[in-house]
Amino acid sequence: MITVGINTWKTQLWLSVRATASPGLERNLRRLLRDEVSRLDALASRFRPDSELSAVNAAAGEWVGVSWGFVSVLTACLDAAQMTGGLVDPTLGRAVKAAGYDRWAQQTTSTDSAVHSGNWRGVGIRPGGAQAQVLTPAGTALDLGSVAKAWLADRLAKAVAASGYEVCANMGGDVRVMTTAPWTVWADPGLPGESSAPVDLTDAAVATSGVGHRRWAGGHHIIDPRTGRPADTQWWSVSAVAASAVHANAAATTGVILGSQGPAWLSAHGLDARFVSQEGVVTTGRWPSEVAA
Amino acid sequence: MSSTPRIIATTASAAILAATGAGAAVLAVDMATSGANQAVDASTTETLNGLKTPQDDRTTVYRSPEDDSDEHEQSTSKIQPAPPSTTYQGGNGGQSSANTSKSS
Repeated sequence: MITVGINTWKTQLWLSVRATASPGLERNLRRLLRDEVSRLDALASRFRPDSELSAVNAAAGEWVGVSWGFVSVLTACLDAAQMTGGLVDPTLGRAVKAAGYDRWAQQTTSTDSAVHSGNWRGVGIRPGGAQAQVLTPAGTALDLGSVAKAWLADRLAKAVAASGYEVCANMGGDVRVMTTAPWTVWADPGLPGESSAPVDLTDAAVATSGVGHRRWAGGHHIIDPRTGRPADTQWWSVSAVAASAVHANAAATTGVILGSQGPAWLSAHGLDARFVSQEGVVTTGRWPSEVAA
Repeated sequence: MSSTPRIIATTASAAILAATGAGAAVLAVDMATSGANQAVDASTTETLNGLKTPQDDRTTVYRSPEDDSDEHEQSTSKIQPAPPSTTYQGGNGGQSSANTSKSS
């Protein structure tokens, strides 16, 4: 097993392959991970004034030239919005900021009481300029952070698998596995006293969304587009399994946002998930039920 | 009515992008204009000393209006569940940071 990792975005990113130790392969994996993370940061960071996302947000209501790479991330986010009926909405950047999730180094308590709504159906993409152009509705701002790490997990896993390796790409909890033999991934709810649950994956993904990590006085980072405010949810975290990391992330985040309606929604969509709250654990689909000890 | 995001294309580019097998031609145009990547072969991958880099964005992400059919929509508008090979009674292997899904 070879594993490389880096700390960034206030989380840990890992890339693992089943292979015997090889300094050359390890070096290449490290370089691949570093390059792809750097690239995504330049595309989609909300905290970098020189990112493509910042340029788009600075000109909401106008067509803005972007790279195809930016289009790729944005398309994944719009797919997530479509799959969830708009519950995972990439145009809630202003609401996220208003909720207090503003500066990367210092998450401040919000003083902005305005409600900001999204409008993901108003996003346009067209070829133009050097590569492509994006239009976001006036009055909105993009925040691709919800899906971007999952997009990167899928992207890296596919590339490494295409090179002939069995791979597990873990981008801050958005985990994509592409193997022939099962690879155990542990769904950790991050709630003290609550155990992790193992899942054996081959070509699939698991993602965990929750309110415990990126939270501050008065809020957290998961916005309910129906209110424009941090989701009022009883779930500390939701782990979901799906065919890809983007899909698993969309499912898990939707589960958090929907609160008490989350298990029913995921069940209706045939999804396996584990909902964890202070009161206990609820599972859907094929995820085994758990009985309190 | 389509529920997909509004994706608008200029006529010439849309025609190229929608044409079957035109990926290489589109790629060539983009290469000439962006210079963002170095050697990219017809399969849109390159190697990093034997390790392939991710597939080039341009040939995969753009959905021209011609692609925005009901069939396409149905195939992408639903979260795809875990495949049958997924099991939940495992735990064959120790837990580490690298194989843990935790909200972050």
